[in-house]
Amino acid sequence: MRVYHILPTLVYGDAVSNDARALNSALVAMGWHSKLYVARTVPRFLNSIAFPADAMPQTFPEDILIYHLSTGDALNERLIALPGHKLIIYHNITPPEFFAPYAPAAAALTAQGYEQVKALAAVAEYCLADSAYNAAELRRMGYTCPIDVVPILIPFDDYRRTPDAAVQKKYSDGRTNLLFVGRIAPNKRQEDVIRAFDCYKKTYDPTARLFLVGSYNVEDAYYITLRRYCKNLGVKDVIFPGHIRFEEILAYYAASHAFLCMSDHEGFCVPLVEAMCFGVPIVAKSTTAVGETMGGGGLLLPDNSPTLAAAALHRLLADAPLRAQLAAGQQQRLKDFSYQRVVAQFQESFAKFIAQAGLKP
Amino acid sequence: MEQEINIEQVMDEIRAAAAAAPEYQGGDAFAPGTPGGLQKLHIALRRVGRKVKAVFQKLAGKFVRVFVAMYLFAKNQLKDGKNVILDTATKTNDLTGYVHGEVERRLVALEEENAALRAELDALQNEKRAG
Repeated sequence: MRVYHILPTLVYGDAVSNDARALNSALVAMGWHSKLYVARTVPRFLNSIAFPADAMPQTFPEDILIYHLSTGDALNERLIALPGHKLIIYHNITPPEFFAPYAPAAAALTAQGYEQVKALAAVAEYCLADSAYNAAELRRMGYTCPIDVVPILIPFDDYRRTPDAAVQKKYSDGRTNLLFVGRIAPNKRQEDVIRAFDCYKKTYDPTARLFLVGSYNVEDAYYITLRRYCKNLGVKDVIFPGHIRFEEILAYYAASHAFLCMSDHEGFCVPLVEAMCFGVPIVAKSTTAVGETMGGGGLLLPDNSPTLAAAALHRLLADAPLRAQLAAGQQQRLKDFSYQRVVAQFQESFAKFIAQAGLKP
Repeated sequence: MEQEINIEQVMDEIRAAAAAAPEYQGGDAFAPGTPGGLQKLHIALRRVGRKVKAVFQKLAGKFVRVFVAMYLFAKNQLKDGKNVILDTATKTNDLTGYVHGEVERRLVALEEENAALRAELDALQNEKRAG
Protein backbone atom coordinates (compact mmCIF):
# COMPACT_ATOMS: atom_id res chain seq x y z
CA MET A 1 0.00 0.00 0.00
CA ARG A 2 1.40 3.35 -1.07
CA VAL A 3 0.31 6.95 -0.68
CA TYR A 4 0.12 9.00 -3.86
CA HIS A 5 -0.10 12.67 -2.97
CA ILE A 6 -1.24 14.51 -6.08
CA LEU A 7 -1.82 18.11 -7.11
CA PRO A 8 -1.82 19.98 -10.42
CA THR A 9 0.90 22.53 -9.68
CA LEU A 10 3.70 22.76 -7.16
CA VAL A 11 5.55 26.06 -7.03
CA TYR A 12 7.27 28.40 -4.58
CA GLY A 13 5.28 30.71 -2.38
CA ASP A 14 1.87 29.22 -3.09
CA ALA A 15 -0.36 28.29 -0.16
CA VAL A 16 -1.62 25.03 -1.67
CA SER A 17 1.91 24.00 -2.66
CA ASN A 18 3.17 24.76 0.84
CA ASP A 19 0.30 22.78 2.34
CA ALA A 20 0.99 19.77 0.11
CA ARG A 21 4.70 19.78 0.90
CA ALA A 22 4.14 20.15 4.63
CA LEU A 23 1.45 17.44 4.76
CA ASN A 24 3.63 15.10 2.75
CA SER A 25 6.44 15.59 5.24
CA ALA A 26 3.97 14.84 8.02
CA LEU A 27 2.89 11.63 6.26
CA VAL A 28 6.48 10.50 5.84
CA ALA A 29 7.14 11.29 9.49
CA MET A 30 4.11 9.10 10.33
CA GLY A 31 5.86 6.25 8.52
CA TRP A 32 3.89 6.31 5.29
CA HIS A 33 5.57 5.81 1.95
CA SER A 34 4.17 8.98 0.37
CA LYS A 35 5.33 10.81 -2.72
CA LEU A 36 4.14 14.00 -4.37
CA TYR A 37 3.03 13.80 -8.00
CA VAL A 38 2.32 16.95 -10.00
CA ALA A 39 1.34 17.98 -13.50
CA ARG A 40 3.54 21.06 -13.36
CA THR A 41 6.36 22.21 -11.15
CA VAL A 42 9.54 24.23 -11.14
CA PRO A 43 12.78 22.53 -12.27
CA ARG A 44 14.24 22.64 -8.77
CA PHE A 45 11.40 20.49 -7.38
CA LEU A 46 11.13 18.06 -10.29
CA ASN A 47 12.24 14.51 -9.45
CA SER A 48 13.43 15.55 -6.00
CA ILE A 49 10.48 16.97 -4.10
CA ALA A 50 7.81 16.08 -6.68
CA PHE A 51 7.50 13.66 -9.56
CA PRO A 52 5.63 13.98 -12.85
CA ALA A 53 2.02 12.84 -12.60
CA ASP A 54 2.34 11.45 -16.13
CA ALA A 55 5.00 9.05 -14.87
CA MET A 56 3.02 7.97 -11.81
CA PRO A 57 3.08 4.18 -11.37
CA GLN A 58 -0.07 2.10 -11.81
CA THR A 59 -2.20 2.50 -8.69
CA PHE A 60 -4.10 -0.35 -7.05
CA PRO A 61 -7.37 -0.46 -5.12
CA GLU A 62 -5.57 -0.71 -1.77
CA ASP A 63 -3.45 2.40 -2.48
CA ILE A 64 -4.23 5.82 -1.03
CA LEU A 65 -4.67 8.83 -3.30
CA ILE A 66 -4.57 12.23 -1.63
CA TYR A 67 -5.61 14.99 -3.98
CA HIS A 68 -5.42 18.77 -3.55
CA LEU A 69 -8.33 20.38 -5.34
CA SER A 70 -8.03 24.09 -6.05
CA THR A 71 -8.50 24.70 -9.77
CA GLY A 72 -9.77 23.24 -13.01
CA ASP A 73 -7.30 20.72 -14.41
CA ALA A 74 -7.21 17.57 -16.52
CA LEU A 75 -5.74 15.82 -13.48
CA ASN A 76 -9.08 16.26 -11.66
CA GLU A 77 -10.76 14.06 -14.26
CA ARG A 78 -7.89 11.59 -14.38
CA LEU A 79 -8.22 11.06 -10.64
CA ILE A 80 -11.76 9.76 -11.04
CA ALA A 81 -10.57 6.74 -12.99
CA LEU A 82 -7.54 5.89 -10.85
CA PRO A 83 -7.91 2.86 -8.57
CA GLY A 84 -7.36 3.62 -4.87
CA HIS A 85 -8.96 5.12 -1.80
CA LYS A 86 -9.43 8.84 -2.41
CA LEU A 87 -8.95 11.59 0.15
CA ILE A 88 -9.67 15.02 -1.29
CA ILE A 89 -8.29 18.19 0.26
CA TYR A 90 -10.48 21.05 -0.89
CA HIS A 91 -8.92 24.51 -1.00
CA ASN A 92 -11.81 26.10 -2.87
CA ILE A 93 -11.93 27.43 -6.42
CA THR A 94 -12.44 31.09 -7.28
CA PRO A 95 -15.87 31.38 -8.90
CA PRO A 96 -15.65 32.12 -12.63
CA GLU A 97 -17.82 35.23 -12.48
CA PHE A 98 -14.93 37.13 -10.91
CA PHE A 99 -12.71 36.48 -13.90
CA ALA A 100 -15.30 36.78 -16.67
CA PRO A 101 -14.93 40.55 -17.29
CA TYR A 102 -11.14 40.38 -17.37
CA ALA A 103 -9.85 36.94 -18.25
CA PRO A 104 -12.29 34.67 -20.09
CA ALA A 105 -9.75 31.83 -20.17
CA ALA A 106 -9.39 31.91 -16.39
CA ALA A 107 -13.18 32.03 -16.05
CA ALA A 108 -13.50 28.98 -18.29
CA LEU A 109 -10.86 27.13 -16.27
CA THR A 110 -12.50 27.77 -12.92
CA ALA A 111 -15.95 26.95 -14.33
CA GLN A 112 -14.50 23.65 -15.51
CA GLY A 113 -12.99 23.25 -12.03
CA TYR A 114 -16.40 23.49 -10.39
CA GLU A 115 -17.81 20.86 -12.73
CA GLN A 116 -14.87 18.61 -11.90
CA VAL A 117 -15.38 19.12 -8.16
CA LYS A 118 -18.97 17.98 -8.58
CA ALA A 119 -17.86 14.95 -10.60
CA LEU A 120 -15.32 13.98 -7.94
CA ALA A 121 -18.09 13.77 -5.32
CA ALA A 122 -18.88 10.29 -6.61
CA VAL A 123 -15.42 8.93 -5.85
CA ALA A 124 -14.35 10.91 -2.76
CA GLU A 125 -14.27 8.68 0.30
CA TYR A 126 -13.17 11.37 2.73
CA CYS A 127 -12.52 15.09 2.47
CA LEU A 128 -10.54 17.69 4.30
CA ALA A 129 -11.50 21.33 3.90
CA ASP A 130 -9.38 24.33 4.91
CA SER A 131 -12.41 26.01 6.46
CA ALA A 132 -16.00 25.34 7.46
CA TYR A 133 -16.90 27.58 4.51
CA ASN A 134 -15.13 25.21 2.12
CA ALA A 135 -16.72 22.19 3.81
CA ALA A 136 -20.18 23.71 3.36
CA GLU A 137 -19.43 24.35 -0.31
CA LEU A 138 -18.54 20.68 -0.80
CA ARG A 139 -21.82 19.66 0.83
CA ARG A 140 -23.70 21.97 -1.52
CA MET A 141 -21.94 20.30 -4.44
CA GLY A 142 -23.18 16.88 -3.44
CA TYR A 143 -20.44 15.48 -1.21
CA THR A 144 -21.89 12.99 1.25
CA CYS A 145 -18.62 11.50 2.57
CA PRO A 146 -17.13 12.62 5.90
CA ILE A 147 -15.60 16.10 5.69
CA ASP A 148 -13.23 17.36 8.37
CA VAL A 149 -12.10 20.95 8.67
CA VAL A 150 -8.31 21.08 8.88
CA PRO A 151 -6.75 24.51 8.40
CA ILE A 152 -4.10 24.98 5.77
CA LEU A 153 -0.67 24.04 7.11
CA ILE A 154 1.53 27.14 7.20
CA PRO A 155 5.31 26.76 7.52
CA PHE A 156 5.76 29.41 10.22
CA ASP A 157 9.48 28.69 10.53
CA ASP A 158 9.91 30.41 7.16
CA TYR A 159 8.51 33.62 8.63
CA ARG A 160 11.40 33.80 11.07
CA ARG A 161 13.77 34.62 8.24
CA THR A 162 15.25 38.11 8.28
CA PRO A 163 13.07 40.53 6.30
CA ASP A 164 14.74 42.31 3.41
CA ALA A 165 16.61 45.20 5.00
CA ALA A 166 16.39 47.56 2.01
CA VAL A 167 12.59 47.35 1.78
CA GLN A 168 12.14 47.67 5.51
CA LYS A 169 14.46 50.69 5.72
CA LYS A 170 12.88 52.39 2.72
CA TYR A 171 9.41 52.32 4.21
CA SER A 172 10.20 52.76 7.91
CA ASP A 173 10.13 56.54 7.71
CA GLY A 174 7.31 57.43 10.07
CA ARG A 175 4.58 57.40 7.43
CA THR A 176 1.59 55.11 7.85
CA ASN A 177 1.84 51.97 5.71
CA LEU A 178 -1.27 49.97 4.87
CA LEU A 179 -0.97 46.52 3.40
CA PHE A 180 -2.85 43.90 1.48
CA VAL A 181 -1.19 40.70 0.32
CA GLY A 182 -2.65 38.48 -2.37
CA ARG A 183 -2.20 37.93 -6.06
CA ILE A 184 -3.70 40.72 -8.12
CA ALA A 185 -7.02 39.08 -8.95
CA PRO A 186 -10.61 40.30 -9.27
CA ASN A 187 -11.95 38.24 -6.34
CA LYS A 188 -9.45 39.98 -4.05
CA ARG A 189 -11.13 43.30 -4.84
CA GLN A 190 -7.97 45.35 -4.81
CA GLU A 191 -10.11 48.17 -6.26
CA ASP A 192 -12.00 48.30 -2.96
CA VAL A 193 -8.72 48.43 -1.06
CA ILE A 194 -7.57 51.31 -3.29
CA ARG A 195 -10.88 53.10 -2.84
CA ALA A 196 -10.75 52.74 0.96
CA PHE A 197 -7.13 53.87 0.95
CA ASP A 198 -7.98 56.91 -1.17
CA CYS A 199 -10.76 57.78 1.28
CA TYR A 200 -8.43 57.24 4.28
CA LYS A 201 -5.75 59.41 2.71
CA LYS A 202 -8.16 62.23 1.89
CA THR A 203 -9.98 62.12 5.22
CA TYR A 204 -7.36 61.21 7.81
CA ASP A 205 -3.76 60.86 6.67
CA PRO A 206 -2.54 62.34 3.37
CA THR A 207 0.94 60.86 3.79
CA ALA A 208 -0.20 57.21 4.07
CA ARG A 209 1.01 54.54 1.68
CA LEU A 210 -0.64 51.40 0.41
CA PHE A 211 1.28 48.24 -0.47
CA LEU A 212 -0.59 45.86 -2.75
CA VAL A 213 1.79 42.93 -2.50
CA GLY A 214 1.02 40.17 -4.95
CA SER A 215 2.11 38.87 -8.28
CA TYR A 216 0.55 40.14 -11.48
CA ASN A 217 0.98 39.95 -15.20
CA VAL A 218 1.41 43.33 -16.84
CA GLU A 219 -0.87 42.22 -19.62
CA ASP A 220 -3.65 41.23 -17.24
CA ALA A 221 -6.77 43.31 -17.83
CA TYR A 222 -7.61 43.50 -14.12
CA TYR A 223 -4.15 44.82 -13.25
CA ILE A 224 -4.33 47.34 -16.09
CA THR A 225 -7.75 48.44 -14.87
CA LEU A 226 -6.44 48.87 -11.32
CA ARG A 227 -3.57 51.05 -12.49
CA ARG A 228 -5.95 53.09 -14.58
CA TYR A 229 -8.26 53.40 -11.59
CA CYS A 230 -5.43 54.78 -9.43
CA LYS A 231 -4.67 57.29 -12.16
CA ASN A 232 -8.32 58.30 -12.55
CA LEU A 233 -8.74 58.72 -8.80
CA GLY A 234 -5.53 60.70 -8.65
CA VAL A 235 -4.45 58.63 -5.66
CA LYS A 236 -0.70 58.54 -5.03
CA ASP A 237 1.45 56.18 -2.99
CA VAL A 238 -0.19 52.94 -4.13
CA ILE A 239 2.71 50.54 -4.53
CA PHE A 240 2.49 47.33 -6.54
CA PRO A 241 5.76 45.52 -5.80
CA GLY A 242 4.84 42.64 -8.12
CA HIS A 243 6.54 39.27 -7.85
CA ILE A 244 9.14 39.66 -5.12
CA ARG A 245 11.36 37.47 -2.97
CA PHE A 246 9.94 35.96 0.20
CA GLU A 247 12.25 38.11 2.36
CA GLU A 248 10.82 41.20 0.67
CA ILE A 249 7.27 40.06 1.43
CA LEU A 250 8.32 39.68 5.06
CA ALA A 251 9.70 43.22 4.98
CA TYR A 252 6.38 44.63 3.73
CA TYR A 253 4.63 42.93 6.64
CA ALA A 254 7.28 44.19 9.06
CA ALA A 255 6.97 47.77 7.77
CA SER A 256 3.15 47.88 7.79
CA HIS A 257 0.86 49.34 10.41
CA ALA A 258 -2.43 47.77 9.35
CA PHE A 259 -3.65 45.05 7.01
CA LEU A 260 -6.76 45.80 4.95
CA CYS A 261 -8.59 42.93 3.25
CA MET A 262 -11.64 43.73 1.11
CA SER A 263 -11.68 40.38 -0.67
CA ASP A 264 -14.97 39.02 -1.93
CA HIS A 265 -13.97 35.38 -2.03
CA GLU A 266 -11.52 33.48 0.15
CA GLY A 267 -11.51 29.79 0.96
CA PHE A 268 -9.13 30.47 3.84
CA CYS A 269 -6.90 33.56 3.22
CA VAL A 270 -3.39 32.74 4.40
CA PRO A 271 -2.27 36.42 4.38
CA LEU A 272 -4.62 37.08 7.31
CA VAL A 273 -2.68 34.52 9.32
CA GLU A 274 0.60 35.98 8.09
CA ALA A 275 -0.54 39.42 9.30
CA MET A 276 -1.35 37.87 12.69
CA CYS A 277 2.11 36.32 12.71
CA PHE A 278 3.68 39.75 12.19
CA GLY A 279 1.41 41.43 14.72
CA VAL A 280 -0.14 43.65 12.04
CA PRO A 281 -3.70 44.57 13.08
CA ILE A 282 -6.34 43.53 10.56
CA VAL A 283 -9.38 45.28 9.14
CA ALA A 284 -11.27 42.94 6.83
CA LYS A 285 -14.58 42.67 5.06
CA SER A 286 -16.53 39.76 6.46
CA THR A 287 -17.14 37.46 3.55
CA THR A 288 -16.79 33.76 2.66
CA ALA A 289 -14.11 32.27 4.98
CA VAL A 290 -12.56 35.59 6.07
CA GLY A 291 -14.47 35.95 9.37
CA GLU A 292 -13.81 32.31 10.22
CA THR A 293 -10.06 32.65 9.67
CA MET A 294 -10.00 35.90 11.67
CA GLY A 295 -11.72 34.04 14.52
CA GLY A 296 -12.44 37.21 16.50
CA GLY A 297 -9.07 38.86 15.89
CA GLY A 298 -9.18 42.20 14.06
CA LEU A 299 -12.08 44.36 12.97
CA LEU A 300 -14.68 42.91 10.62
CA LEU A 301 -16.55 45.15 8.20
CA PRO A 302 -20.03 44.31 6.95
CA ASP A 303 -19.55 45.71 3.45
CA ASN A 304 -17.10 47.43 1.11
CA SER A 305 -17.94 51.00 2.13
CA PRO A 306 -14.75 53.06 1.71
CA THR A 307 -15.78 55.54 4.39
CA LEU A 308 -16.37 52.74 6.89
CA ALA A 309 -13.06 51.02 6.07
CA ALA A 310 -11.23 54.34 6.32
CA ALA A 311 -12.86 55.15 9.65
CA ALA A 312 -12.01 51.68 10.95
CA LEU A 313 -8.37 52.06 9.90
CA HIS A 314 -8.20 55.48 11.51
CA ARG A 315 -9.68 54.23 14.77
CA LEU A 316 -7.38 51.24 14.82
CA LEU A 317 -4.28 53.31 14.19
CA ALA A 318 -5.25 56.04 16.67
CA ASP A 319 -6.43 53.81 19.52
CA ALA A 320 -3.50 52.02 21.18
CA PRO A 321 -5.57 50.05 23.74
CA LEU A 322 -7.84 48.77 20.94
CA ARG A 323 -4.80 47.80 18.89
CA ALA A 324 -3.34 45.96 21.87
CA GLN A 325 -6.57 44.06 22.48
CA LEU A 326 -6.92 43.10 18.82
CA ALA A 327 -3.26 42.08 18.69
CA ALA A 328 -3.81 39.83 21.70
CA GLY A 329 -6.88 38.33 20.00
CA GLN A 330 -4.91 37.77 16.81
CA GLN A 331 -2.11 36.06 18.75
CA GLN A 332 -4.66 33.82 20.42
CA ARG A 333 -6.17 32.91 17.06
CA LEU A 334 -2.72 32.27 15.64
CA LYS A 335 -2.29 29.39 18.07
CA ASP A 336 -5.10 27.54 16.28
CA PHE A 337 -2.94 27.50 13.15
CA SER A 338 0.28 26.37 14.80
CA TYR A 339 2.15 23.78 12.79
CA GLN A 340 1.94 21.19 15.55
CA ARG A 341 -1.77 21.68 16.10
CA VAL A 342 -2.66 21.46 12.41
CA VAL A 343 -0.43 18.42 11.86
CA ALA A 344 -2.16 16.75 14.81
CA GLN A 345 -5.56 17.55 13.29
CA PHE A 346 -4.42 16.14 9.96
CA GLN A 347 -3.06 12.98 11.59
CA GLU A 348 -6.34 12.45 13.42
CA SER A 349 -8.40 12.89 10.25
CA PHE A 350 -6.05 10.70 8.26
CA ALA A 351 -6.35 7.96 10.88
CA LYS A 352 -10.16 8.14 10.60
CA PHE A 353 -9.91 7.95 6.81
CA ILE A 354 -7.63 4.89 7.03
CA ALA A 355 -9.99 3.20 9.48
CA GLN A 356 -13.02 3.94 7.32
CA ALA A 357 -11.24 2.50 4.27
CA GLY A 358 -10.46 -0.65 6.24
CA LEU A 359 -6.74 -0.19 5.78
CA LYS A 360 -4.02 -0.89 8.30
CA PRO A 361 -1.14 1.57 8.71
CA MET B 1 -6.14 44.28 34.63
CA GLU B 2 -7.46 46.67 32.00
CA GLN B 3 -11.12 46.48 31.14
CA GLU B 4 -11.83 44.68 27.90
CA ILE B 5 -12.93 46.94 25.08
CA ASN B 6 -16.33 46.14 23.67
CA ILE B 7 -15.71 45.61 19.95
CA GLU B 8 -19.38 45.98 19.07
CA GLN B 9 -19.36 49.37 20.71
CA VAL B 10 -16.16 50.27 18.84
CA MET B 11 -17.83 49.28 15.57
CA ASP B 12 -20.82 51.49 16.41
CA GLU B 13 -18.43 54.38 17.00
CA ILE B 14 -16.64 53.64 13.73
CA ARG B 15 -19.98 53.64 11.90
CA ALA B 16 -20.81 56.99 13.49
CA ALA B 17 -17.40 58.38 12.52
CA ALA B 18 -17.85 57.17 8.95
CA ALA B 19 -21.29 58.79 8.80
CA ALA B 20 -19.86 62.07 10.08
CA ALA B 21 -16.84 62.03 7.76
CA PRO B 22 -16.84 64.13 4.58
CA GLU B 23 -18.62 62.37 1.76
CA TYR B 24 -16.17 60.38 -0.30
CA GLN B 25 -16.20 61.40 -3.93
CA GLY B 26 -14.90 59.64 -6.98
CA GLY B 27 -14.93 56.05 -5.87
CA ASP B 28 -17.49 54.71 -8.27
CA ALA B 29 -15.60 54.91 -11.52
CA PHE B 30 -14.20 51.40 -11.50
CA ALA B 31 -15.08 49.30 -14.50
CA PRO B 32 -13.17 46.79 -16.57
CA GLY B 33 -11.26 48.80 -19.11
CA THR B 34 -10.71 48.04 -22.73
CA PRO B 35 -7.24 46.81 -23.54
CA GLY B 36 -4.70 49.25 -24.89
CA GLY B 37 -3.05 48.93 -28.29
CA LEU B 38 -0.19 46.80 -27.04
CA GLN B 39 -2.53 44.48 -25.23
CA LYS B 40 -4.71 44.12 -28.31
CA LEU B 41 -1.64 43.13 -30.25
CA HIS B 42 -0.81 40.46 -27.66
CA ILE B 43 -4.32 39.12 -27.78
CA ALA B 44 -4.21 39.02 -31.57
CA LEU B 45 -0.89 37.21 -31.54
CA ARG B 46 -2.09 34.69 -29.01
CA ARG B 47 -5.18 33.93 -31.04
CA VAL B 48 -3.03 32.84 -33.92
CA GLY B 49 -0.82 30.81 -31.61
CA ARG B 50 2.12 33.16 -31.30
CA LYS B 51 3.69 33.12 -27.90
CA VAL B 52 4.36 36.52 -26.41
CA LYS B 53 7.85 36.28 -25.02
CA ALA B 54 8.70 39.78 -24.00
CA VAL B 55 7.06 43.09 -23.32
CA PHE B 56 8.80 46.41 -23.07
CA GLN B 57 7.59 49.78 -22.04
CA LYS B 58 9.33 53.05 -22.53
CA LEU B 59 9.47 54.81 -19.19
CA ALA B 60 11.42 57.99 -18.56
CA GLY B 61 13.09 57.71 -21.93
CA LYS B 62 14.36 54.17 -21.51
CA PHE B 63 13.04 50.82 -22.48
CA VAL B 64 12.22 48.95 -19.32
CA ARG B 65 12.07 45.22 -19.23
CA VAL B 66 8.67 44.03 -18.19
CA PHE B 67 8.82 40.31 -18.79
CA VAL B 68 11.89 38.61 -20.00
CA ALA B 69 14.57 40.56 -21.63
CA MET B 70 16.32 43.82 -22.25
CA TYR B 71 16.73 46.27 -25.05
CA LEU B 72 19.65 44.42 -26.57
CA PHE B 73 17.87 41.13 -26.29
CA ALA B 74 14.95 42.63 -28.14
CA LYS B 75 17.16 44.00 -30.82
CA ASN B 76 18.89 40.66 -31.31
CA GLN B 77 15.62 38.81 -31.36
CA LEU B 78 14.28 41.15 -33.98
CA LYS B 79 17.38 40.59 -36.04
CA ASP B 80 16.82 36.88 -35.69
CA GLY B 81 13.30 37.33 -36.96
CA LYS B 82 11.70 36.06 -33.78
CA ASN B 83 8.52 37.32 -32.20
CA VAL B 84 9.33 40.16 -29.93
CA ILE B 85 6.79 42.93 -29.61
CA LEU B 86 7.62 46.49 -28.84
CA ASP B 87 5.17 49.26 -28.30
CA THR B 88 5.44 51.29 -31.43
CA ALA B 89 3.21 54.02 -30.08
CA THR B 90 6.35 55.65 -28.77
CA LYS B 91 7.51 57.87 -31.59
CA THR B 92 10.64 59.37 -30.15
CA ASN B 93 12.96 56.48 -29.55
CA ASP B 94 15.93 55.50 -31.57
CA LEU B 95 14.31 52.25 -32.58
CA THR B 96 11.29 53.92 -34.16
CA GLY B 97 11.93 53.16 -37.76
CA TYR B 98 13.42 49.78 -37.13
CA VAL B 99 10.79 48.49 -34.76
CA HIS B 100 7.83 50.13 -36.34
CA GLY B 101 8.63 48.55 -39.68
CA GLU B 102 9.15 45.19 -38.05
CA VAL B 103 5.84 45.22 -36.23
CA GLU B 104 3.98 46.43 -39.30
CA ARG B 105 5.54 43.58 -41.25
CA ARG B 106 4.38 41.11 -38.63
CA LEU B 107 0.89 42.52 -38.63
CA VAL B 108 0.70 41.98 -42.36
CA ALA B 109 1.94 38.41 -41.86
CA LEU B 110 -0.68 37.86 -39.23
CA GLU B 111 -3.41 39.17 -41.45
CA GLU B 112 -2.42 36.66 -44.00
CA GLU B 113 -2.42 33.93 -41.39
CA ASN B 114 -5.85 34.63 -40.09
CA ALA B 115 -8.33 36.68 -42.05
CA ALA B 116 -10.64 36.95 -39.05
CA LEU B 117 -8.12 39.19 -37.37
CA ARG B 118 -8.07 41.71 -40.18
CA ALA B 119 -10.62 44.11 -38.76
CA GLU B 120 -9.08 43.99 -35.34
CA LEU B 121 -5.62 44.59 -36.68
CA ASP B 122 -6.82 47.42 -38.90
CA ALA B 123 -8.36 49.04 -35.89
CA LEU B 124 -5.14 48.56 -34.00
CA GLN B 125 -3.10 50.09 -36.77
CA ASN B 126 -5.48 53.02 -37.06
CA GLU B 127 -5.27 53.51 -33.34
CA LYS B 128 -1.49 53.51 -33.49
CA ARG B 129 -1.46 55.92 -36.43
CA ALA B 130 -3.79 58.21 -34.51
CA GLY B 131 -1.10 58.11 -31.83
